[in-house]
Amino acid sequence: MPVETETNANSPIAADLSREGKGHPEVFKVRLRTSRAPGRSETAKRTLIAIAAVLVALAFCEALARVVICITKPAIYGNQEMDAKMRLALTPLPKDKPCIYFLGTSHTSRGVYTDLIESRLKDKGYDVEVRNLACGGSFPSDELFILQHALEKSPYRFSIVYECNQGGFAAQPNYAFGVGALGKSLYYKNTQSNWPIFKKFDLWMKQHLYLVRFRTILKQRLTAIPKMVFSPNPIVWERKKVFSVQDDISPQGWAPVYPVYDAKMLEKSIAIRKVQVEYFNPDDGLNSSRERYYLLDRVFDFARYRQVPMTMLWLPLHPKMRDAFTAQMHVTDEQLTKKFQRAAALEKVDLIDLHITQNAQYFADGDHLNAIGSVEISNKIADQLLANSATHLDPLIGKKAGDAKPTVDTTLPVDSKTPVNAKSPVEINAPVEVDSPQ
Amino acid sequence: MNFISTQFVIFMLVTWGLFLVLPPRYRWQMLLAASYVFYATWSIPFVAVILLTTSVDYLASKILYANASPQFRKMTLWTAIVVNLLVLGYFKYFNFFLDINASLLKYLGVANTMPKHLEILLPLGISYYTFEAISYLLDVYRGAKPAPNWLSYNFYIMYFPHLISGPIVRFNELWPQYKDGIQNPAFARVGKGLELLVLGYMFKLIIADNCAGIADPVFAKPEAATVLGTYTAVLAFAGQLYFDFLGYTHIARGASLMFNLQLPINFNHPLNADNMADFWKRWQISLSRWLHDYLYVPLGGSRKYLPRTMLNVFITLMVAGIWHGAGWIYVVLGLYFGVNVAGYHAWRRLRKKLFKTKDKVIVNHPLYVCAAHIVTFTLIVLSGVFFRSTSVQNELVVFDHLIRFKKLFEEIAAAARVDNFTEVGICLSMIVILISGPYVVRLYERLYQPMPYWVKLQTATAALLLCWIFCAEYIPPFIYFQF
Repeated sequence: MPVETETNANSPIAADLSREGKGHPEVFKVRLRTSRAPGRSETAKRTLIAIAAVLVALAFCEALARVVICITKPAIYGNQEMDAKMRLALTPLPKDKPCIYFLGTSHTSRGVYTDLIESRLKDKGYDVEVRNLACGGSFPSDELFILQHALEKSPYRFSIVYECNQGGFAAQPNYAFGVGALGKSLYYKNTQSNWPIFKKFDLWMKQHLYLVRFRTILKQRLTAIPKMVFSPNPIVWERKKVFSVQDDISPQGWAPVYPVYDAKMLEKSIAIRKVQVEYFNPDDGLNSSRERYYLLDRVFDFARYRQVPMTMLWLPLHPKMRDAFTAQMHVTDEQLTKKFQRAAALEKVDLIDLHITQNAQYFADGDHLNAIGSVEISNKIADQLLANSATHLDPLIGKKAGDAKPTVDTTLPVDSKTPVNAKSPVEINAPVEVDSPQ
Repeated sequence: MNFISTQFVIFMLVTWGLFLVLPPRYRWQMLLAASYVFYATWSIPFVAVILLTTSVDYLASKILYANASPQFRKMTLWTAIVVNLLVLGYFKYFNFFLDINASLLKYLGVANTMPKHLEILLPLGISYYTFEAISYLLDVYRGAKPAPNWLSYNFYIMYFPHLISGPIVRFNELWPQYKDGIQNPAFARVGKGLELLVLGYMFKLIIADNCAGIADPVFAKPEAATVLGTYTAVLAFAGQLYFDFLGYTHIARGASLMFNLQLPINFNHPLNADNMADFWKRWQISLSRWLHDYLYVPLGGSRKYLPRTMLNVFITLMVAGIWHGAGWIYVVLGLYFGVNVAGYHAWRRLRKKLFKTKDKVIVNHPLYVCAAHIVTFTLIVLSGVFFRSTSVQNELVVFDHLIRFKKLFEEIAAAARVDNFTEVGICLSMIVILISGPYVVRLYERLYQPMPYWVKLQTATAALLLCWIFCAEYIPPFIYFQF
């Protein structure tokens, strides 16, 4: 018969505590109450109701998750920007047309004006498509994920320009929300489980359940409200990423968010980076972002294996941000330069080092270039690519063409809302094809 | 095996399934076997340590019960206690003794021939089961009946929900629950067990682990932290420590209730204590109960004059501090609690002398109550600094930051300039979370308890999903597992 068994109340301190009224009588109370034993049918009925209740609760939570995720346009991959980049990656190139893919984080996504670079290269006779597949807050695994899909769609000649940022402090895996669970699971071959049935189940959940697939986004959206209460302005960017659709991405993937320099934005961004560094990389920027560097090796491996020309790109920071970065991360420019140079030498790749710039007007905040800076830096990148055309361009094209007239005015700053050389958004809004997992 | 792991869920399901299909009189033996599996997943060799100590204790208890000679009984008791303490001392404190020895010899200018450190692993739960064994021996010495056989005593020590981090249960609290076999748990009891399990996971995964993400970076490098960041970290650690241990206790009690065995509660809203003595009656109740019964009372308790009472309190809480771990920071922790509680006893006596008949009126005055709560809360939160710091130097750095009030206000103003109140928000939220316990429980009992069981199940499912969504990327083990 089901019973609640009794406990002993003979402890001397039990009496003491009971007298003082401070103790918990539950500990010591002798419980003799017995309950009527339910029959088998009663137990079965209760169990069935319990199972049904749990299933209903799961379905309800899944529905709720779908509502939360779909408050804005639902993202197929982790966020809207990632979706746009995937759309771009999955748009096939004209057959046999070579391509340069820019990969990296928000620094590249917002700072590398690929339309301009493409135009500059065309002017010099290099008919190359240049695509910016970088995505804000992404991690190397996310970047390789996009690249992998791009190459499956257009397996032609290509090269990679890969951004090496300043320690990956903004792209810790627990902070970044690149592709989310689905992409990561696909990239990491689904799951760590060794049992095929669990692998299949895991993948099924990641493909079909929003609760599983968008867990990171759900966490961000559910915590966004208290964050907004306590810091309404500094998380404006986060809110933008979480609640808004980034419609202003250029045809070649440039995502200019900030048109002009804003001193207040600089102060805010430094404050935010400090918090991120304290929370995510308390010891040392380079040591604690070990995983990012480990995955950087995967990018090198990829390039080596596919015999793809690869170039490392180091974009600038605002001078004040660089000081703050050095103080917080305990890593100086010299150390980082040496590190990147060593990596480039080891892997026999070029390093486009643009990180030294004293011009504060190039920045929208502490580390993202504004439209003016983006044009300026993109011109420099184009110059470097052309200067080393024997390494970067000739292998792609196979020949060298003559000069031609420029198609884009490279001297004027660009309004972020109307990307220069904008093409029809039809390509951008084309439906996304998700390839079946491996 | 960690309570927060897939292995544990599978282990629980299998064990519970076996428990339900077996006849009542064989259930505790099955649970004993499961407990050995539970412990062996962590370390097989250390099972031998438990087998050794439980055998010694069981034998000693039989001798104590059967023998009439007071001298012989006393000798047997002390021998058994010393064996237990030696095992504990070797595994837990030997390296600390080596440290002290090295420092002393260095101070005296004598060459140290002893090794600096030994690679000694700490058997999981050794502090807890040693105290349980001592309580059993002392109870038998005082006249309680010993366990009828070795297995039943072994079950009392090994029962897996309380094996690693308590609660420290007495033999005569657990034994009546399984001596005649263990019946099927009532439906309501299973529900209560599940409820405790879900609450435990929520406390651990949602609150404690996320607090760890705030506190850990600061305590790892306190000199690099800002003053506001230090305040946030200290409050966050208070939250982490409390909810981590509360979560563990809930899971342990919930898992045990599924097997129809009730374990004592361990917490009674300690952050709402109105003095430090009260805090120790609310924090880790099973440990304070043990210390009270087997140390404080034998030392003389509060039956003698005030300085002696203060000394007894001081010694008891020093032991509590050192029990937590081997290292100077735990000595400092013991000192801190000892001074605070002994100081409270002195203050209480002084207050009674000063206010005489008006004492009760003053003590019950809302202003006094409020001030007492604030002071006690502050002292409790500050005790976390001793607990969490990795060295005495780090403790000093943290306290140095905490007393820089001017810089604190400057930092708040700087944060306000960029509309960033995140850290201030975390501080306020932590205070609310830490002190709102009794009110939340009242609300919980009023709103949640009357609900039908299927609604409770649905809420529990949603709560588990929330745990999954909000849990940190890295789930650290329970803090008290290290003791």
